[in-house]
Amino acid sequence: MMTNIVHGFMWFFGGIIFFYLIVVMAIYGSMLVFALLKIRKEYTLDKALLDEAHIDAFYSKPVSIIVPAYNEEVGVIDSVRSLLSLRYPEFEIIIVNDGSTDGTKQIVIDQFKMKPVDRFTSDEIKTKKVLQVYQSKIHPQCILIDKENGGKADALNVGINHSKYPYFCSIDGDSILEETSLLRVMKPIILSDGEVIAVGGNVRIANGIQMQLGSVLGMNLSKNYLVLMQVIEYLRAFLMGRIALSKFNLVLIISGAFSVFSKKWVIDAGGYAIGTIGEDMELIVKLHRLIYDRKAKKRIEFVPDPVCWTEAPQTMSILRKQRRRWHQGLLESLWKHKKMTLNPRYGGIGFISFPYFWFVECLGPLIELTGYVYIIAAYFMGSVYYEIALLLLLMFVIYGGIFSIFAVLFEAWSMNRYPKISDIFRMVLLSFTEMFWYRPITLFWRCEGIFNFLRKKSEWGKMERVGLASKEQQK
Amino acid sequence: MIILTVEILLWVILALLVICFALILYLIIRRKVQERRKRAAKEYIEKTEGLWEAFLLEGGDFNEEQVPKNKSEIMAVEYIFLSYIQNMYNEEVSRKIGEFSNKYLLNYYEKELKGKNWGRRINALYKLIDFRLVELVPYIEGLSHKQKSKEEQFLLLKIYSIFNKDKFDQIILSNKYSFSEIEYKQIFSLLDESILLQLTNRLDEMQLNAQYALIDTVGYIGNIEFVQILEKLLDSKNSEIRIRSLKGIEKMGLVKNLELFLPFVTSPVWEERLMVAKVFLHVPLKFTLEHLMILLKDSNRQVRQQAASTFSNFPEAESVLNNDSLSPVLEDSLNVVQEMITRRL
Repeated sequence: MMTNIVHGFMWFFGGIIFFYLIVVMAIYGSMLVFALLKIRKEYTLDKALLDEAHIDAFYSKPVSIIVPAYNEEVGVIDSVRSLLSLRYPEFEIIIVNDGSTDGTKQIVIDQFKMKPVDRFTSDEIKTKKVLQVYQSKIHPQCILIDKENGGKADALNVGINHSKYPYFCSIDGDSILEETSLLRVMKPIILSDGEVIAVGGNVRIANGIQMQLGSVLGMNLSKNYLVLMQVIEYLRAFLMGRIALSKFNLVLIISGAFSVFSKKWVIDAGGYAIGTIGEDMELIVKLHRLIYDRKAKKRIEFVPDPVCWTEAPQTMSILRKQRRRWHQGLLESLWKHKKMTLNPRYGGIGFISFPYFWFVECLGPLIELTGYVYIIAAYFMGSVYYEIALLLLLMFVIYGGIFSIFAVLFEAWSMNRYPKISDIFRMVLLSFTEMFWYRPITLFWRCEGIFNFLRKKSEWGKMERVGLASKEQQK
Repeated sequence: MIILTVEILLWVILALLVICFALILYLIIRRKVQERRKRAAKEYIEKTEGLWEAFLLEGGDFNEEQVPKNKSEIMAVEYIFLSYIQNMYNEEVSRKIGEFSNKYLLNYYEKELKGKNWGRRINALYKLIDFRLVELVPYIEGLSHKQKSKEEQFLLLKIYSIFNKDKFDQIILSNKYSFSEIEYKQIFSLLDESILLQLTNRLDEMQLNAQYALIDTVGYIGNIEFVQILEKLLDSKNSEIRIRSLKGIEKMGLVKNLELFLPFVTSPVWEERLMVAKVFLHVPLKFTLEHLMILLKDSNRQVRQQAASTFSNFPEAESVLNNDSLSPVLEDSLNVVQEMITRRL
């Protein structure tokens, strides 16, 4: 009797995991094919020729770049320098010091010769108190806002209130933009006559980057396997998932590390939500909601070409906190807007995006992790289950390893940001190992995020940064 | 059943791995070819840069050595030409580049334009404009409407605007294609002022995006001949056209007839009130003071701010501020004006 129950149990769960993996592989496979077709069309295009056409202010729109910074003394200077060297006709840089307890404020004041100024602002979004506004004497388009601590969302809202242009770009305080990134990320907005209200760029891992005065000179892959694995993971997520979702206006996440928004729409949506963990996803969901509520013909897009380089965690403990928070943030937003799921009022977002994010991105880790436990259990339980275990293992090889290899090769073919053949080989070889260590560990952390959400545990992790400049000096 | 599925999966994995290794091999070969081409292009540039300088800048003839013999050398010539166009552009340089390209690069770009790859066709169209490959224009005219992507249609219109003005007029007024405002601006800003003038007379026949772009372009160019046209457009029924015309006039800084602008002080559209506050920058304060006072009390914050900014720009603003008869309602706005004056000092 007991044996029958165990047998039935093993077959049932084996079947569920098998079915889940088949569905997910079909989704990822079709997204990969879709992205391949899109990039195949464009990869021979000489983008420098197109950049020239938009370099004049008359053919573009001015942008306010908002850099929220909390204890970013290590990375903020490089980040602002990279912004100052952007090829873009008209922009201002607003650094928002969110009550840092380190030397962020002073280092910005010293480096950019900031002096206190009065500046007209709006109070369209309620925020914590602004203590002082500074303006750079050497770069007048660069201002620093010192405010009481209120979190990243509050800092971004302060930046929006102080911005003078109709579009703003949010950049993390430790991120580096390539000189053409803003020009390229703005293109969908400019060419759509305002139909596109938000655009996200591609985020890449900067550990190993060669820099000089905020400009990216070249790329050396990090020697740290944990970082390298994240490089592969980012390539897969950005190149495979978002390109396809973007085509059909189904993107729910564009990275807060580098995205551009229409100020008017963000203000109408109430700005960034204070007190949420994933404020970037929350804003996108609110914007989609607003678009449908107003029955407006607007779009949110992801553009794979403009790149923003950001520093990745180098240790297990920091990565664990980051992934736990990300997953908790994802679940929080999905839960908050759960009424949109399968709601005909929200069209594709309700019928495709929400179910996809619920079952593949959010609950997927639980099912996958169960799959790993299942394989181990089946191995110990004897002959009949060996085959099921082997079957699932092979599916994990395709799902965890081969998709990653394709993403790496896809990048090497289309964008070529990692030009050394040896780097490609290293990434391909490492992709084979993903399912044995990186994947199960990150799945476990993401499941921790689910439990933290259920326990309503709030975790405001702060990543310790080595800083890109320090690496530059080490070379 | 499971054994069968395992076997199938093993075959699938094997097939995928074979594809992966084939792709890696392809990438290695492709990268080697690219590196070789880059090296060859660099060698060509080093070998011929003096000859190009003599030909393009010093009036010399071109040498046989300069004629590109393969793709690497064509890449190098493209690089050289684009550098000259972007950094040392003049009519003579442009003419010589056109002359050389029409003689030696025509076949290459014709092949590129006939190719199936969209990116390469777009690159070729850009080169057609930059290198003035006039002889290819009839060829692309022959392509049917269906064969062209939106980007190709845009570049084609840009090409007509440079090389075939009649065809350009015909297309732009037929409203056959629809482009974004920025794209129209890119085209209009390349046109001669006489053609712009002709187009402004037929503004109504164009699509709305093209109308907006044309008004912006006219304001951007800033020729005073266009002021009259913009003034006429202030009567338009479309508020966006009125706002853009006000913007254009403000940019030119020429206010001939103040009466035309006064209705905008009480316009129900706040953007019009904002723009008229800006326009008043170009009229002596004694003529606009009473209107600025109205705008200083405006319900819209941006209008009030602009009125304050305009007001504070005049040297006599400070003495006006000391006049006690000003309504206390204006107190906040006048404080802003005072602050602006202080900051300027």
